Amino acid sequence: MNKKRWKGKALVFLLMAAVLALTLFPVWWIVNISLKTADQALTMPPKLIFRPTLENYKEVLFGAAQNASGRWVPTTKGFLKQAGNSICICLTATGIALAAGVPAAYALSKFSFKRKQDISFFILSTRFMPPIVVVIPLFLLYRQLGLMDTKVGMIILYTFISLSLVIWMMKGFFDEIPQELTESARVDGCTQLGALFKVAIPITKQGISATAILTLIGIWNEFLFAVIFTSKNAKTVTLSVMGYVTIREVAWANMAAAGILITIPVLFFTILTQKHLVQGLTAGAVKG
Amino acid sequence: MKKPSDNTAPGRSGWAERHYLALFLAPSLILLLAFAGYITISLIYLSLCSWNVSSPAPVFTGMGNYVSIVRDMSFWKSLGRTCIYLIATVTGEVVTGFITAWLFNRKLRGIRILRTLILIPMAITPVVAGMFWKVMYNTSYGPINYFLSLAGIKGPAWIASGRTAFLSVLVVNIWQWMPFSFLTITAGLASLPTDVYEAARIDGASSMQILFRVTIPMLKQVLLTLVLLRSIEALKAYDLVYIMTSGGPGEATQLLPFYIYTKGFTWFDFGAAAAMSLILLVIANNLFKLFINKTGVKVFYE
Repeated sequence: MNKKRWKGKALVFLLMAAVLALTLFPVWWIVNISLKTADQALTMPPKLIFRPTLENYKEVLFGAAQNASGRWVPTTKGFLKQAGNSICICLTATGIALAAGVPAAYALSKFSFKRKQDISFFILSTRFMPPIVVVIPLFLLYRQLGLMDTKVGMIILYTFISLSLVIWMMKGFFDEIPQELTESARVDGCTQLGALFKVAIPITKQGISATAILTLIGIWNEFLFAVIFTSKNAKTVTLSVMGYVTIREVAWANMAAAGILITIPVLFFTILTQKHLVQGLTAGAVKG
Repeated sequence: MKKPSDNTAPGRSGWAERHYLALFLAPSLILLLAFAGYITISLIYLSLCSWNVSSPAPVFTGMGNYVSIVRDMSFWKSLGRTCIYLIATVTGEVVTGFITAWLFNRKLRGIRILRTLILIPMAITPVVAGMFWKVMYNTSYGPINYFLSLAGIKGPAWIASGRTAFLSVLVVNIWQWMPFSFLTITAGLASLPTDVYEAARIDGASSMQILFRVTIPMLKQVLLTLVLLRSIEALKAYDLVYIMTSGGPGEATQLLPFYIYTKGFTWFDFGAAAAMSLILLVIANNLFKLFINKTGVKVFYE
C-alpha cells in the first residue's frame, strides 16, 4: 500500500515536470536565441554554453546602422515608434471602452428593465463576431473617411471590439457586490450616479484594473486589424516582428529579441493580475 | 462616511437621476448598435455586389457571389477545416488544462511559482508565439527535429508538409491557450467545498470516482463557460495561420477567416469576401446562441 502511494506520487511529480518542460521549452529556446550572436543563433548542434549578448535587443530598439562584421542587418528603426503607437492606441481605446462600458455593465448588473435579456444578448453577440467579418465593410468606410493608417482609426476600431469584453467582465465583478450595498447608499441619499461612482466602482477597483489590463493586452496583441488598416504611420508593435523577415534572410536573432520585448509588458501584467483575470469572465460559474 | 451635501442629493429630481438607465446604457448601446448595424447592413449590400478587379466600385449583381461560393470547393473545405479546428483545439485546451490543473492542485512548497510559470505561453503575443514555433518546427535549425535526429528519427517537415501542417498549427494553439484553461479550472477547483470530498472519501470512493462523479459535475458551469469562451476565440483563428503557414502548404491550414482574407486582400474579390463574411457571422451567432440555450451555461445574463 505504502509503496503504491509512493509510486503514484513519483508519477505525479514526473508528469508535473513534463508539463512544465513542454510549456517552457520553446520560451527558453527563443530567449537563448535572442541572447546569441546572429552567427551562433541557429547553429546545430546548439551551443548551450555561450556568452550572452544584448546586441540583438540593441539592434531592435535603436536600429542597426553599424554593420561591423560585414553582416547584413535589417534596419527596422521603427520599433520604438511602433511601441509608442501601440501604447497610445491601447490606452486611449481602453479608456473610452471603460468609460462607456462600466456604467452599462453596472446597469445590466443592478437594475431590471424592459428587454434586458435582448440587450444583454445583443452585447454578448458582438463578442461572437469574428474580426475578419468587420474588415471588409470597415475597409470601405475607412478608405472613404481617410482613416486608413491613422491612430484615430485604430482607436475607434479597438474601442468597438473591446466594449463587449469590458461590459462582460465588469458585469461579472458588479454581480459580486451585494445589492443591499448600492441600495443602502441610495437610502442614504446618494444619486444613482453617486451610487455607481462612490460605492460600486471603489469596491470593485481590482475588477476594473483586471478588466483594463485584459483589454490593454487584447489590443496590444491584436494583429489582423493592424495588418490591414495600418501601413506606415499608425503601425503597431505586433507588426514589428515581421520586419525581420525579408527576401534575403530572416534575422531570427533580432526577431526573437523583438518578440521578447513585445511580450515582456504583457507577461508582467498577466502575472500581476492572474487571480482576477478569469474571475470576471466566469463570474456566473465560479462562486466565491 | 458621506459628506452632508450628499444627503440632500440635489440631483435626485434632476434629468440625470430620472434617466439614469439611459445615461448608463446609452453610450455603449449607441456605439455597439451603430457598429454592428453598419457592419451587418454593408455586408448584406456588398455581398450582393460585384466588387473586384474587373469592377473597382461595388456594382449590384444579386445572388451571384453566393452562387459562386456554393460551388467553391475551397470554401467548403475551409469551413470544414474550421469546424475540425474548433472542436480539436477546444477539446485539446480544456483536457490538457484540466489535467494540468489537477496535477498542480496540491499543497507544495513553491507551487504558486510553478503555477505562474505555466501561464507564460498565454502571455505571449499570438503572432510572436507563431514566430517562435516557426523556429521550433524548422527542419534545418529547429530543436524538435534536432532532438528527434539524436534519437535516430527523421522528423517530418511539420508546417511545411501538407500532412502535418494542420496538426502543427493546432499544437501551437493548444500550447498557447492551455494555460487559460488551467487558470480557469484552478480557480474553479479552489471554489469547490472541501466537505463533499471528505464525504465521498469516507464513503470509500476511489480518486477516479471522485473525479468523474464529484469534481467534474460540480465544475460543470466553469467548464461550459470555458468551452464557450475558447470556442469564440477558435472561430476567430487567424494570427497563427497568417504567420506560420499563410494557409498552406496548398490549402492544408486554410481556415475560413484566412480564406476570407485571401479572397479580399490577395484576389481583391471583396464581394465574395463580404458574402463569406456574412455566412461566417451567421454561423458564429447561431452556433453560440444554440450552445448557450442548449447547455444552460450561466454566462453574462442570468
